[in-house]
Amino acid sequence: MNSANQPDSAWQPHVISLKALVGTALVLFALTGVTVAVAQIDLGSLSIAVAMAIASIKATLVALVFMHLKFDRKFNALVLVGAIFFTVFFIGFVVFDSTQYQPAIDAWQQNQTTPAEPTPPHDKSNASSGSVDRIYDFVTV
Amino acid sequence: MSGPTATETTEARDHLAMHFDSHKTQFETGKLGMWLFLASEVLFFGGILAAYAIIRANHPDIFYYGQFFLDWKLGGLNTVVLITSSLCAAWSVRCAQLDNRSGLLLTLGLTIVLACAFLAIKYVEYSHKIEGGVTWGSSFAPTAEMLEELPETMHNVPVPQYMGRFFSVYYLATGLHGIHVLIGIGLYIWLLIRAWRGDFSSKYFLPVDSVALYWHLVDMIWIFLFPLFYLIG
Repeated sequence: MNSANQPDSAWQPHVISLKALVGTALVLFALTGVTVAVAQIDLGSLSIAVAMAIASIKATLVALVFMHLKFDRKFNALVLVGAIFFTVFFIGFVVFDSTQYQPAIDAWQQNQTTPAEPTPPHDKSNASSGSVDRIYDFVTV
Repeated sequence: MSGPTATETTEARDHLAMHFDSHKTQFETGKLGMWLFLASEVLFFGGILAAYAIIRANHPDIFYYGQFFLDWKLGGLNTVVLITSSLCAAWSVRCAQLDNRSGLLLTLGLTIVLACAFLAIKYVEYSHKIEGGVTWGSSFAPTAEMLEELPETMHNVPVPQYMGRFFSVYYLATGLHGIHVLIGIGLYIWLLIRAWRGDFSSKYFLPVDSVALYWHLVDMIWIFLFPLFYLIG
């Protein structure tokens, strides 16, 4: 039944050394300390980028050593890198989209909090007219 | 060379599903399957991080103010706890691979204990906040005692409008992460029971490896959440 050239007993999966595991954990502790220390320094808009960069280094260490990607088939690493790439792409696009339309939303909210005249009371017997009014309000902005 | 003996065949074939030709194939297929699931988990938290990014881009004031409600020391302690638990999880895989049953049981047990410690610290954080009225969305209503706990420099700063949105993202991200930790504890208890029964060997350790992969991902997600919420600066 074994279609591979090697007998099943010849399979020698890679066993990671204890030194690599403990060493990686110590580096992760150190980098956590660095993250906290750097957060005390005021870097303005750079601070989030620096924090994410250090977090990425930590995540890479976890992925390569703890999750064994360094010693695995490359395709597993490709799956993770692909997922992260699409997440970054998704977040980037969504933030871009949001900041484009935020001024319109802010203007609409201003309009809501300072009405020029009191809005007429809604006719409660006809529920759908209320939502149509709200859509109309948004469009007039 | 003659083939494997009857005993070898039985032991080596243990836990080898009939649709796989060897333990190697079974292991690599199972591992790839786990990685594909982890990819979906990355996108899952990616969606929450997108919410974080938008809300922070449009309301930076609530993020600056919000950090003072969070204790970075507890967050940092949780990070250390999770990294240690990841070490124990990776170590448990090594023990399974080396047929070290006692080591396997010890490391699996330690992972569970540390995961519970994470949830205990999280409980302390959450209960303090919820008692102080620091909850999500429009229900955000901090008590006077809670506001007193903020640093002196923030006492005269008015609470920003829409402050609740910061805590909506905070509870969503850390809460869902906490649920993932809880699921991980359940999975590790299952592994502990199976390890006690002697299910795992150097030929069959795929469940230990797969759950460890899940656990490392949970750790990775917290590595990103910690600076995003606790170290806003």
